[in-house]
Amino acid sequence: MAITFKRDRVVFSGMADGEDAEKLLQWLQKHPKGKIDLAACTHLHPANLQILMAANCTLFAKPKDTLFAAWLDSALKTV
Amino acid sequence: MNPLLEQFLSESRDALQGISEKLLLLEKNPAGNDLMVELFRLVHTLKGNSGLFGFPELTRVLHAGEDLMDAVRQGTVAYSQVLADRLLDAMDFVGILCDEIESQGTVDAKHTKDSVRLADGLRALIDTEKAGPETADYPEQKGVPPVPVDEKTDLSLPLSLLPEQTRVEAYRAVVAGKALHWLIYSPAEDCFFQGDDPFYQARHTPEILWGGISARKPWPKLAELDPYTCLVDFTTFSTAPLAELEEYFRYVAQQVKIIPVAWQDIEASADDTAGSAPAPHLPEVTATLAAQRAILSLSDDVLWLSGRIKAVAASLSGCLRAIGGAAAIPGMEAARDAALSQATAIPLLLWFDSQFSRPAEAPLPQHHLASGGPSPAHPVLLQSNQGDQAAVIVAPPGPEVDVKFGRRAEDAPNATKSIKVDQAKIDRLMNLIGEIVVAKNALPYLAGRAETVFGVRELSREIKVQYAVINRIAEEMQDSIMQVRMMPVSFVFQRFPRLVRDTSNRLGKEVTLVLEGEETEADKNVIESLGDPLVHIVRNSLDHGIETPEVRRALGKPAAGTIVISATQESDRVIIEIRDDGKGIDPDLIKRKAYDKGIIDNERMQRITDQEAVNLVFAAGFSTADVVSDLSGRGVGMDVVRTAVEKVNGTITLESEKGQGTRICLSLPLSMAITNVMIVESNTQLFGVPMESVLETVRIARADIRTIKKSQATVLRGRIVPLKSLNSLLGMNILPKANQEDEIAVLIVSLGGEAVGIMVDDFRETAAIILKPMTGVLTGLSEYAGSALLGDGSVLMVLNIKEMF
Repeated sequence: MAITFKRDRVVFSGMADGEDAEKLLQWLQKHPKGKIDLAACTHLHPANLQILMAANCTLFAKPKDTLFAAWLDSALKTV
Repeated sequence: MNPLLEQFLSESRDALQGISEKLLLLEKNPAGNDLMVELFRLVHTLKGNSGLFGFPELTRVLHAGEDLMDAVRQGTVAYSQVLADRLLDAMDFVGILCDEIESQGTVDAKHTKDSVRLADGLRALIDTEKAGPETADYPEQKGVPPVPVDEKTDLSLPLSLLPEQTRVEAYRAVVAGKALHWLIYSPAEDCFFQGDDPFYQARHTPEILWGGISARKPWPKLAELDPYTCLVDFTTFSTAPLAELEEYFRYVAQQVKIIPVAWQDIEASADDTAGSAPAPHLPEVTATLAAQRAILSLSDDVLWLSGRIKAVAASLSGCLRAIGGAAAIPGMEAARDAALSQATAIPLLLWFDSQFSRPAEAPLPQHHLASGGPSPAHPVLLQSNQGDQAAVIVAPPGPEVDVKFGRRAEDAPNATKSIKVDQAKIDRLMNLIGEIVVAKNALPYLAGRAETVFGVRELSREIKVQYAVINRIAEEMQDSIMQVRMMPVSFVFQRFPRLVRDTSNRLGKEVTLVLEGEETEADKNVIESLGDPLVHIVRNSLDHGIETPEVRRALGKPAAGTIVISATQESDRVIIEIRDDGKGIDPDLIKRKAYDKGIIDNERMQRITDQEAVNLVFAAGFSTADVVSDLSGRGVGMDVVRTAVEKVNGTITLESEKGQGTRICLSLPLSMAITNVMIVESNTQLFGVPMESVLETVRIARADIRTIKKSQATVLRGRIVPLKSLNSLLGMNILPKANQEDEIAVLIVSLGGEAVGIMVDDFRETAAIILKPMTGVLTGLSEYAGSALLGDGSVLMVLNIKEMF
């Protein structure tokens, strides 16, 4: 499972494809302060990416992949 | 190059030719509705075909053309001169791409930009026409949207976003002589539904230094957000060469802007000082040039226009000398003259842009534009009103008005290498060459007569020398005409992937089809005659040979069965082999069925080998419905297959191992036009025997011929060979003659896989002949395959060995 929804956070791992984008959107609407954990994430489908951007999310954990993290720097805030 | 692509190219050429013709006809008769529909059909077909072979440049232009023609067909867009021009241009471009595909097998990514431009040009016509249909009757006089020009410069680049580390890397790259490019990738909104992941693609931009993500517009509330509409843009900064980037993004070329970046800009953005326009020349020259550009872009409605043009031209020629570009002065003067004669500055402006477009392509910081500094060169043209643009396009072309893909009458660098010829003409040529071959065979006779009858040995020798020359040429001619008629077997093979896929799906079987030796060539007639038998055989294999996946697994075989169709050439024959790894044929079952059908008698059933038994499926009368359903099923019309193969002088053999699979081998002549025969003499007459049935020629001492009951036989290398006299076979009651050593000439022929000896009087030479089938009342004589003319004018009867026994 590339996207795991927990009580107060969403954990992304590996390649997060676009299948769960709807779910992510709903989850974020319910948990506006939810934490976004991208540490184990290697790629975000742009559908997920734009949801995070639109929700003005703050990343709780940046991806370990520094190149990927640099991309996200331009679009998302980090704690 | 694969044959499918070859065919595509050849069809495309025809279609392009057709499109040009139709367009030209339309020009004379713009109301021709049928023409319009035909035109649409051509463009539509071409586009559809191009989609098969990943050439996005080709498809993009054709798609735009198709949309345009569809609009024209439905009457929403009127036919106009400009439309025809653009369409012709687009088709020329397609022609160029086709040439490139033919010579290099691929389309260079450098065409991407042109294809986008042409496609946009075509689409622009649809949009404007829709916007203003009332003017559609006067297309020449209204504002026609311009063919988009490369627009690059009106973008401000947020170079200051680049982190320090990236700058350092960029500097290193510049020092290493690499180009810097800024890419803006704005994916289509529905791209997710096409399976695209633009972020992934952006992340893997070649030689990427930096990448950023930005929202296209302010985000809506979360509740209103459609996550599957792409609303983000990706920006990357790369050191890869332009061509590589274009190649990488060629499938989405319309969504990507690639902007070259000069190091100075990065430096300037880092210093956060007002970045000046890139200065390829001295600042003074640049300023002067920019001023001239600004002057040229002013309105033409002034009395002193000619003076202004002359003044600008003078300044430009000064600038050119200053920057060492004196060679460009004649071109500028030509543009000036054109401008003067047309009373508009546009030709000169166009020349200016073509001359100085390089520096202008480099980006200019936005604030520079806004601050009202010297007007940057390029965007002015874009901003000028549409009327001007129309004027540009309708006006007689000044120098370099438009990048044309014109290959009109002037040049034909890549003339088509193939021509279509009516088959009847080839056949006639073939017949004529056949006659030459026969006629040339008369020369040795003539030489012989010169020596024996007239006693002129010298002349005889000279005739023979001439004969050798003519013989060589005739053989080469024959060979090349054969080549013309040759076709690769892929012509018949290509239908099988589909057939196998459909049939196996229907039967619920898994089948892998392997095609081998598709490039093997044979005569057109042979190839064409192959089609039906092969389909039959493959269908049999699928239907009755290959087991269902469950059965196969239970037998320990891979779930997917394999059918291999291979073609190879063996000397002058093509061998087509169809093998499967299915359940094979049970010889016992065949034997019993054949016995029930009365095809073999009890005695034969006892001693027949398994190999011979499975070949009984080819026997006539074996293919009846109940046999098919009970049996492994082979035999469905197998005698029909055999007949079809034999019609083109082919042979068919079948090997099968129960449980292991079946192998069917077709052996066909490369060409049917020339038959090699062995000439034999019997009762002072000459007869031809086709070489493919001749196994060997032997002379057997009369003492070695045994008579068993009424039949004669001999022992040849430990095997009993039945002997027949040709005379008796032909109903002549004369015994064969023996030679001085009391030996009889015996021609060993193969008859249904068995060797049979035919006793004749003597052997003669072998000859290549053109076999003419028996016609008229002689058609019924099945003992003869046909007749041929010999060099001395006599007629040679060619025997049909199979029918004689």
